[in-house]
Amino acid sequence: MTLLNGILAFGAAAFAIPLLIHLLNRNKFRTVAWGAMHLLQTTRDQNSRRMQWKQLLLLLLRCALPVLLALAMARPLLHSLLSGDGQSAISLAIVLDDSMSMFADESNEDGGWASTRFALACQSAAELLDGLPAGSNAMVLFGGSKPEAISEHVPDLLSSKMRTISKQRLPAGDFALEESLQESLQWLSTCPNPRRQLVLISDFQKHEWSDMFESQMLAAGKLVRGQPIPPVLSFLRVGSVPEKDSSEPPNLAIDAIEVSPGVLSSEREATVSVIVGNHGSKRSDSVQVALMVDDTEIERQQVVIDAASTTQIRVRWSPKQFGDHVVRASILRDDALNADNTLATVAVVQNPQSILIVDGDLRKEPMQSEADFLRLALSPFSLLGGKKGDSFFSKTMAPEQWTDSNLKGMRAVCLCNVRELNENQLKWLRDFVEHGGGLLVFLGDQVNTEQYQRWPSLANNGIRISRFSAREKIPADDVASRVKTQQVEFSPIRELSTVSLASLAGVRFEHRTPIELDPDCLSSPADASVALQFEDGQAFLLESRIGKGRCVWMSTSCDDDDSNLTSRTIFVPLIQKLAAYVCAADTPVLLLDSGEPWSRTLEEQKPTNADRQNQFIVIRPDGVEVPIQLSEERKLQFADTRYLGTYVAKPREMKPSEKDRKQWVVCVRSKSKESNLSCLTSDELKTLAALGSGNVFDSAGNLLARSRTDWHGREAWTWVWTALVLCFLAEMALEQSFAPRSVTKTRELGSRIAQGTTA
Amino acid sequence: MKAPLLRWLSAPDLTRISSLQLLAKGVVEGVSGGLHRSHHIGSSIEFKEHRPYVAGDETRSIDWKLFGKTDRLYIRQYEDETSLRCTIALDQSGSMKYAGSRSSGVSKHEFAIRLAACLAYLLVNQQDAVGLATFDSKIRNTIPPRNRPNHLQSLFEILAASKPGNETDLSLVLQTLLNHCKRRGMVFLLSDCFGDVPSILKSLSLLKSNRQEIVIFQILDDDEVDFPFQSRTQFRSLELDSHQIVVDPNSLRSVYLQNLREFQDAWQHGCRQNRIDFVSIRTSESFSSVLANYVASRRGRA
Repeated sequence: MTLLNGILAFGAAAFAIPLLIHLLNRNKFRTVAWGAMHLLQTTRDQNSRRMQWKQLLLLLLRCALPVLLALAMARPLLHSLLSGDGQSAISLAIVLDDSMSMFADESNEDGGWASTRFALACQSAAELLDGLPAGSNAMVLFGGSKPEAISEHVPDLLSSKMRTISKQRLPAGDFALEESLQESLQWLSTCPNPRRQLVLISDFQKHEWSDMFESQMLAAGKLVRGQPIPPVLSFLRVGSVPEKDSSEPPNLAIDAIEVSPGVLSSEREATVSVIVGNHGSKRSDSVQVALMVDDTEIERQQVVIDAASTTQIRVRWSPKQFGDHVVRASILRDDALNADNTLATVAVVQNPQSILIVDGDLRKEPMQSEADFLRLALSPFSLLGGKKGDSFFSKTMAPEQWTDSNLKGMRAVCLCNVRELNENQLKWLRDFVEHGGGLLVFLGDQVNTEQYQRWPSLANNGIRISRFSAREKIPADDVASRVKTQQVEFSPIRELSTVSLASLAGVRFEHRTPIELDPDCLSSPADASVALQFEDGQAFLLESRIGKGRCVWMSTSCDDDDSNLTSRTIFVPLIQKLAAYVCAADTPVLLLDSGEPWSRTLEEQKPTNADRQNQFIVIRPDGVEVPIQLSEERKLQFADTRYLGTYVAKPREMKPSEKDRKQWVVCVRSKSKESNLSCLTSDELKTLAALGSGNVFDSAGNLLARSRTDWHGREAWTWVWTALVLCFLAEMALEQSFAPRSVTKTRELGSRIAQGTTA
Repeated sequence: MKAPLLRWLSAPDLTRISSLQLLAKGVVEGVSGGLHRSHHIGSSIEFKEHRPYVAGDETRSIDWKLFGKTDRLYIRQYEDETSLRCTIALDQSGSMKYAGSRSSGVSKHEFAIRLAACLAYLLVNQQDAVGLATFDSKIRNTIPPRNRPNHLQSLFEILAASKPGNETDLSLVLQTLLNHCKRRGMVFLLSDCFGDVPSILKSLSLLKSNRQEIVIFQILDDDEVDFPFQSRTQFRSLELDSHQIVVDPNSLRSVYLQNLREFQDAWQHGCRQNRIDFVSIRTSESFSSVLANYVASRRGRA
């Protein structure tokens, strides 16, 4: 039995009142010296037992009255089979996993593809909705990345919608268990029906569920049980149940695609790296992979991939036009999951950015000063005599030479191993950054940390955000010689490919100038943060925002004095990413995890009519156009990125000639390994479900059969009210039987008895 | 201090009682002339019958005229008027101590004393001999019947000295009273009659067979008749201190009244069988009017 208003059940404690009155009155009586004891004695002997029972019954009735009243007001709900006819209305919340793995095809008995897991899930949801008793209400919530509910709540209409919806929807990001449960529980808490059920339909993909959700499931169980009326939690699996130690289902996928550099200049050749993975347990031969830029195929390659392994394809590409370009790789073959056979990324082509390199250790010999390495990283093609253009144009000066006039036209300043700066230079730098410029600082062996320490802090109209310590040597193979590349939130690092990240992880540092973020230097904690750390926790990169501009501080130099960074493949992408980051007031984000909000600052361009009216649209991967407003800072912001694929923002009205140039693109990817289609075994799923206090079902039919048993609950307050009224009447009748007759009548009767005139 | 009589009887009561005459319903044996017919046959006025002469009879009572006619000796017998020998038996057991709220503080015992005083006054006034026996479990005080006016003083002194208490055993007391009432007479029993009805009736029938006319004045309090108690009450016995029970009067009332009804029925039925006058009185009533009513009904039957 469940109580809908459980708090009111405490009123049942009022049963103690009649009990106390009874106990107190038990020893409270008047004493009468009496003569006719023989009449009383026989009376008492004859009636004492019956009277005691009547008294006890009266006491019980009086105690039952407050108990029943409290119970009735608490709205009890009975669950047993005997308590109802199984037709009590219920509220059903269905959370449907629409992550990418759910769009895998399920093979039928003949070995062909019958349907997707998502279609089966929709079918199961429809069956559940059809089986609801009359008067029920329901909600269907798609739980991928950012939960999205269908606005319909009438089971019949919802059911027909579910039967057609499977072909209209695209894969969303990773399944968000906690958010989905919270949203569905929130809806259930507003439902009028006391019987509530929460069904979670998923394929229970192993990589997604076992790693991420095991810890969350305990919290989910607590969340469900913590509800005032806890719903019955059920897990419905769709798709085939894997055998123990069964082989991985065959599936090819584009695991990664990266354009290096991501922000590049026109005529500059970029490298597109594509990683193709085989997530099955069989080798795949003759896999054709096509590479397309803006839907135009530029390359097609054929690869062979061993079981459970990956292979990399590299393609050179020279952009012709400015703007955002969608670079897409596709496997030209159908397999179990087609959604992961294509992956896209964005390459932004823009004019070269001017950067002023201030080198404190300028030398005439080539590749001896830091400026040489920086120039090489920022403008490799022009230095090596290539025909392609670079993303950056650099100018080198000594620290004592530059003035504020040199900053004009520059997008960023790189301070490389600069010993110290005078007050004017510091002031100029502050103004430069505050108005949207970038600052990149590399701390080498020439740096006077004591002087740096005296620089005005960010809070005092300066640029300093940290405490500087004396340069130190790092022992070989010490943990401090490596940087931590796991779980990095700093966007220039996040956008690096896994190959580049691995390369960064392989860099060994020998010296560093310890920098520690100083909260006293900041106006607010949000002004600066540690962007990247050494393995020992010391900061490697610090980033800060001053006005419209950005600063990045690196605790080592950018030549080969402090590390082997310059000899690693990460060197050029890292420097370019950092330079691009500080150059742009808002570095375009090219890749998002599903559910992350997208924000893009538009470049300075001649304003169009659409700009003036701030009318823009975002075209989602499913083709839906969503109008958005351009903010005053010329920023486009879009939050609904739950579907995987490319999102294109553009003005609502645009001339055909501007079509390609005036659009901004971002690609949304899934965080987890959705391409691995192996699912939890029955035992694993039961263990997981037990953490959440739920039951596991393999078909909607089984769940319905079980639920029909559970739905035999019905609200019992009407019965309790009836019992209350009956108790009240019984109490009155019993009380009446104890009550004296009217005095006159009793006296008349007594007189007649005394005179012997009664029969 | 008031004379005992005036303590119990008010002037109107005395006036009213003075005008009453209690007539013995049957024939009583008396030693002095009074208002009552005596079964003694003597030299009185009214002829009753002849009987054959037996040796030892007084020769003066032989009807010589009849001897002349029949040549047989017959004795003439006459009905004679005689004084009544009354014994008032007053119950002073503990149960008589009860005084209810509606009896103006007069207990059953006090009511019985006043009634006894009334009776004595009435009977002595009509030259009947009046005796008194007070009893509880046994007879405590007796005074033989006399008809002298100053005998009243003795009676009243005993009545004044009577204190209620102890248990009662009416059956045993009546059997004892049998020894005190050897001659024909009348017994007034003033009691609440609480006890074992069959054994008491048996003793009464013995007394009745001993040529005693019996009148029972059952004295009850209003509370005993209608049992008006409401709240939870502990009833403590007036006769036996250790005997007490706690009951809810409301729940017991109907059965109590049923028991009372059966008790009264048993008394009335038994008395009717033994031709005993049974008068149930309540202490809230005026005893003089009760007495007047009884005498009036007795006249009607005489």
